[in-house]
Amino acid sequence: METNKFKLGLFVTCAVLLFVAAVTCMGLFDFLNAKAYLRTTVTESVQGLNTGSQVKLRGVPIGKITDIIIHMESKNICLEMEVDLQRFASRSQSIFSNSAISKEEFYQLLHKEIKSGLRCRIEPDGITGMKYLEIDFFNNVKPVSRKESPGKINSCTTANNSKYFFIPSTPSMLASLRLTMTDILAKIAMIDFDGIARRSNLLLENVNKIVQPQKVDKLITQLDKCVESIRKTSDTLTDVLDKKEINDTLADIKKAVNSIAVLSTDIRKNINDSNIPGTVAGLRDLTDEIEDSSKNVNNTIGKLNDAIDALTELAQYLNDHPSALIYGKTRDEK
Amino acid sequence: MSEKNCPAIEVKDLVAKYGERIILNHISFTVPQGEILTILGSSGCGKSTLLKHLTGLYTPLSGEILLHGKSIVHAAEEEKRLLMSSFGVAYQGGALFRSFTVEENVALPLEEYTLLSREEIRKKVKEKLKMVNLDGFQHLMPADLSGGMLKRCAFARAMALDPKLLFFDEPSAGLDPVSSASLDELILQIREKTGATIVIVTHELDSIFRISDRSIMLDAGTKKIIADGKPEDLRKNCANEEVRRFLNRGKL
Amino acid sequence: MAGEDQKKSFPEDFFISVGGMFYTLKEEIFSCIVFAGRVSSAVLDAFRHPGKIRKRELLYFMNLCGADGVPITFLICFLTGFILGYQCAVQMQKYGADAFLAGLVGCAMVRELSPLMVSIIATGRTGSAFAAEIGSMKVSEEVDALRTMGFMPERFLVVPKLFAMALMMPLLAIIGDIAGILGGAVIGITVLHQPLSAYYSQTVSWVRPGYFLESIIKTAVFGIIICFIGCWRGFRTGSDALAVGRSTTSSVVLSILFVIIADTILAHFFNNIFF
Repeated sequence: METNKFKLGLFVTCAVLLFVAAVTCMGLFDFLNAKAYLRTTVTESVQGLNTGSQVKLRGVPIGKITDIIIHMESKNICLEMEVDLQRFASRSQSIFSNSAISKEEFYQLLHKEIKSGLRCRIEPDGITGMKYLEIDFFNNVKPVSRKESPGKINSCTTANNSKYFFIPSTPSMLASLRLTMTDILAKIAMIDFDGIARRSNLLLENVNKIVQPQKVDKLITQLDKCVESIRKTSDTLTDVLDKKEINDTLADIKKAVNSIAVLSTDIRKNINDSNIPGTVAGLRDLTDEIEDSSKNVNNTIGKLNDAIDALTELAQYLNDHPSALIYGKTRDEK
Repeated sequence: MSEKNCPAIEVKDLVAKYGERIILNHISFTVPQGEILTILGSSGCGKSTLLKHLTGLYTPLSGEILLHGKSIVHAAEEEKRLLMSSFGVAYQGGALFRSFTVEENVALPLEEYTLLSREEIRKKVKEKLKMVNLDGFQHLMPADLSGGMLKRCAFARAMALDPKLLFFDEPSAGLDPVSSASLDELILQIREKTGATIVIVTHELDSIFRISDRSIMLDAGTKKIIADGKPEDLRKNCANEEVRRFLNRGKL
Repeated sequence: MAGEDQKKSFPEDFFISVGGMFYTLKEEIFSCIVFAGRVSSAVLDAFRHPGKIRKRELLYFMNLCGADGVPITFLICFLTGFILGYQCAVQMQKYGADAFLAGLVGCAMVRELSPLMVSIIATGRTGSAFAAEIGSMKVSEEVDALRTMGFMPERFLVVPKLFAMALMMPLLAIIGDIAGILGGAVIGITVLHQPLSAYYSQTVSWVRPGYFLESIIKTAVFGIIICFIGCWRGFRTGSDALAVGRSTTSSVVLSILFVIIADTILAHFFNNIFF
């Protein structure tokens, strides 16, 4: 029953050392490091973001999310994060060659950078639906302006946590895509297709009333202008959206425009032939067709609306479930 | 009654059950101090059960057992343990702790119950082992000992605290006649040197006649004591034929 | 008993055996509770008088269930991490989730598999040994001898084992944790061609220090369960030659059962803490 005390001692020492080394590596003593506390508010869903999710500065992990709070008044989500200053300093070579950076220095640095466009936004981390918070300059995306100035007390501050430094956020890529789409839709809706149609109608009625050869030239120029304006509208639409389905529907408009053009040549010919009654009949047809095309345009806008809704939904779904991309692909392969 | 004068063991109206079976049915006997008592009986008559009741391992269904005037039946846990440490028991197979050496086995009660230094304990162990002729075997493991040596070592351990009461369970079972005889001699010596009361469970006739002052015999049928007296007298004059047959090796 | 008595009709026979089963169950549960009471009083006593703990036994058992188990624990946990890593790597590679291998292996090993593996090894190595040791001591009347010497057998036979298990098992679990992570790292490097530093930083970012605490607490609890059941079965050993074998078997089966049950409860408990 004699014990090999050396073996026992060796075992205990090694195991304890391993334990200490392991928990140190895993960051047990990180709480001893100086921390900076940041906060941001986002308007979109934070699905995929947890407490403990990483905070990265242009892709370099510098801290983690410590709290996620729903701010009921503004319906915004308030994210609180802490940045390990030691880790930050050890990774930012040029500015801070020494190993430490004080909290104030860090806040000052951020303040400066925020003025020149530093923002944070939620980014998908891989395909699993997990997210992280990226701090970067997002010049290509129009930042949705938030009224709060950096560093100041903001909407989700409560009395006891004013230690947080506010950093403005910008919607994530998919959220901003969604916003842009809504904008475009609104702009399209603003184009007064009805008005255009009405005006053409009026014009043609006038023509119908006073079909006089001397006024026909003027009429033709006006008609040309009208056709031009419709073409322009269609071109603008094509420019703004080069989605295929949209193009298809726009083709309808083009067809209508073309038919107007054909008619205008017809009118020209008829006038040249001085076949006024024929011309009047042709004009009546034209009026009907313009009415039709006006309806077509309205239809098109409705379809466009639906298409954009579907696209928005798809974007949102992909945002939350990036892995769907893969499942979709594998299904295709089968 | 002071402790000096009261009998070493007093059993009153003991009823013992093993599972559903009654083993001992209302038995009573008294053992005065300094006596060597042998408990006899054919196999399965409850000798070992009686011994286990006497040593407090089993609790009787009813009745009373007094050791030096103190009840082991009704003692509280702590009291009972104290009472148990006051007597020594040598088991049939020795029951030495196999992970301990001979010396450690004998020293264990001393380490636990006395405040002696390590050196004093070693001396005392040597003394006890000398008494059972095992001096010099201190560092052997029980597995290395012969049957007789195991029993003698068990005796030494039982005597470690110089108890006034010793229980031996079949000391000479499974031993050759020479070892058996020397063991009997040893028991007599122990009594002579320590003056202890000794209760022995056995069915070795030689031992019974040689060492016991008095014998009681248990009967498997009636679950009672059927004979009580000096073994020589019992052999010759016992009224019960069963007892005479047992003590005469089955011959009458 | 006449032969006719034993030939009982179906319902009677059935109810007798069901009744017998419940009676045995009741007896076992009762004896377990009594034993638990005795052990706790012995443990309390040991805390009150630490000097009375048998140092020699304690050291011996610490060596037995700690230091002696290192090679097998390391090997089994390494291979567990290796297998886990391998199976997952094959699946994860399909979805390009290679980077998550380190996190998966690290968390699974530290939080769950290493404590479980260590416990299963300990059940086989030490739990059964405890049951056999106490069982054979019971058969050879050594337990009775302890009792008639006025000792509490639990103090001699259970307390040192219990302390040794509760102290050494967590240390084994740490070695198991590290071994498992290493096993996963081998897969990460060889199958997924990740650099060691990437694997390391992934592990470190996924495995929280609290998980090691979980690992330790779990194994300590499992160690106590294994030791308790081993000793209890040992003390319940009958007096025949087969009894020791039976009590060893039942100690292993019951230990694994109760370790898994305890793991279920603890997993829930720790998930509430961490998430």
